[in-house]
Amino acid sequence: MKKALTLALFLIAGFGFAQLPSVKVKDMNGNEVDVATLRNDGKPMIINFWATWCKPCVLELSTIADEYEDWVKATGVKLYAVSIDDTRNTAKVGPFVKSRAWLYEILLDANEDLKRALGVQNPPHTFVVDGNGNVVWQHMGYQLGDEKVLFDVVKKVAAGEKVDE
Amino acid sequence: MKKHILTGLSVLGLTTITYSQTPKENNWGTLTGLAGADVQFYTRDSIIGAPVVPEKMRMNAFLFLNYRKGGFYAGARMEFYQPKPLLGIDERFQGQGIPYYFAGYQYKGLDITAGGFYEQFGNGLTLRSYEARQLGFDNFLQGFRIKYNVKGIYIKGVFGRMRDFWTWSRGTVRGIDAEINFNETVPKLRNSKFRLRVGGSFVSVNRPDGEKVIGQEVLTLPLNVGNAAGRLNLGYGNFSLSGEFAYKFNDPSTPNRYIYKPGASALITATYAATNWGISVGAKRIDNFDFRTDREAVGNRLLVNWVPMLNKQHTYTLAASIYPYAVQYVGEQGLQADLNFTIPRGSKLGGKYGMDININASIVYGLDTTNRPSRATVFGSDTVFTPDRYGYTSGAGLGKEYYQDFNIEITKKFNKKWKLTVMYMQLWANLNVLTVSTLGKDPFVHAHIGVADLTWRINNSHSLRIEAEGMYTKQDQGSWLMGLVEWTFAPHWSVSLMNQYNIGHPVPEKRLNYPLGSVVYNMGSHRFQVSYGRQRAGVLCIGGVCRAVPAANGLTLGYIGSF
Repeated sequence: MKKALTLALFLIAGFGFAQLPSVKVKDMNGNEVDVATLRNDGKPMIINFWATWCKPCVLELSTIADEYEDWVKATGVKLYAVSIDDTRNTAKVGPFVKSRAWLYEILLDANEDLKRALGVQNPPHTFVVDGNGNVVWQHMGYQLGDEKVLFDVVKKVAAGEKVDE
Repeated sequence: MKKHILTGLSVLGLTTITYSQTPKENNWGTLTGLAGADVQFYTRDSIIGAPVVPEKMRMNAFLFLNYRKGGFYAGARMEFYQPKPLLGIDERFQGQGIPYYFAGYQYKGLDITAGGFYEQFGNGLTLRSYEARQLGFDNFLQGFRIKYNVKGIYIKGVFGRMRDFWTWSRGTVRGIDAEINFNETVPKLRNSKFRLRVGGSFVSVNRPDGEKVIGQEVLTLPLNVGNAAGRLNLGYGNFSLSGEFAYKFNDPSTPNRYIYKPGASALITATYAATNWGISVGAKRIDNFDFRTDREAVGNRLLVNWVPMLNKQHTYTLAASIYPYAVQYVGEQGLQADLNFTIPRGSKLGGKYGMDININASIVYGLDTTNRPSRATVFGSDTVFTPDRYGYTSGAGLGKEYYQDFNIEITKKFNKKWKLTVMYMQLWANLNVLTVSTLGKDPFVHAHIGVADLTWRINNSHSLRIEAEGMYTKQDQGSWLMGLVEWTFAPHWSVSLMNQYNIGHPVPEKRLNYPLGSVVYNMGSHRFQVSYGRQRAGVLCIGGVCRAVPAANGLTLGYIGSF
């Protein structure tokens, strides 16, 4: 057991992670979307895992919504809000988002395939992806004020600067 | 024992250190991972009814690695539950190992997986394998899966056994699912306002049980039990309608008391979503639909299918964890309506930021059933009555009331500094069904719950959140009060203090306080948590599946990190 674990550690030390995985999710019309093909004309993307029942998620997305148009104007960023609601709530996602007039791209990951592939445990969990589809930053949870840090990262990525943890 | 724990912790620690760095790209492929550990130290506290934990300390930990290169993917999850799983998690998880591992390949529309996999057909009425770690729920299938899609036609096939703690179910699951998305298949419909998807699935469980002897009866058990479902999603513009109907062949089992009646389920949901408002209305009927890889399994063990709940998923403490509703797979019927609307920005009531309102109502009844009469058999001078093995017939009427819930939630951001959410809820819960009854003398609870949740954003990094909740009821354990103060210092720290007080308990000595303090440190994708205090006995539900949370007192250390 111990040997196997040591070996596993050795192996993972050699790898990096970067590209968005080729995992399929659905858009609000039920059409399949391959996450690896998500692009935003070379501009940054935010991938945010959320759920209708998750209070900090809704707080984060509604806080960002107040500034989203400014963010888009400044950096061209596009936010993909990936709902991990199960089939109990998937039908509610549309009315929930539309009533709040959120301008995000909504994706549904009801079988949690993308959640598993990106190593997400609990929502909210936010990734920043550069113009080439590389994951360059991630953050778990949301506290008021975190959106400033997120926007700083997005601005750096948009300007082609290196991002620190 | 200690050695195992140390090994586990050191792996988690080393991994964290290795991957706290910014990700790097190279052509070795990409690796992601998730690691977590929860350690609880228990203090004796008999007054709240906390079970005695002789080990004093228990730990749940895991490390999940996921590797991809081109179309190839593989992964594994190590799990540790030492010296025993945390209180409330099934003790049969005790131990450590690598239960979940898989490898697969994707090429164009084809995707083949060998090893463990999670899959769901439609709404889950025929098949849903998923993991809910906090519940100790994990029913992945171990075997093979093949997925193929071309031009909006999706086909999936699965074959395997189900995880049963550290072993596999005796029963084997075989299933197939197909769906056509006409908007992808028919070029003319590609950008149409009209949307149509049609799908169907068939799942069969093979259980080589032979016969079952109950008293004088010898029951011949079906070797294979099939469960078939058809579904439809129809949309036009802002309107959509979806439905699924499933039929299960006779499946005598412990949960249905070995009856041969076939099962049937129907779900239907309609939604309309426009700017500033949206509504969803749903109905369901579940009749004898418990479907497992082991007919003697009960509780949350070895479930093949999943029935979505038709109630709001509450998150405020008193609303979520005292009388939550859990789906009754053996039979129930219900209705739900959920309305969201936003009073627009700039209006008198909406102010600068608008006001979000959610109104939700749901009601669940049992089925209107008539038991079939027993048969009398004469053995010499004795007459033995054996139950009719068809079980019962169900009519179109209503059975007993199980649960009812009406709630309204309003969120208003006043300015950049202040935000308030208020919620009022009224519920009726039948404790004979919800199995959380503590007194037993009054099985029906009627409660009013009020919540105020105020956030004060002091500046860009400091904020304070105050939550006050109250539940008023004359039944069961009586009324509760709850208060929480949470101070956040973004981006790293959060400190909270919470107390729950059972102010209305009919026995004055049981009017107890449950204080709990927590400190959270967040660093990028790593989160550390320390909490100390009392945990109230209650129910934890995720997605309509619930487990009892026993009372506990002590220190909890938690870590979760993604890389």
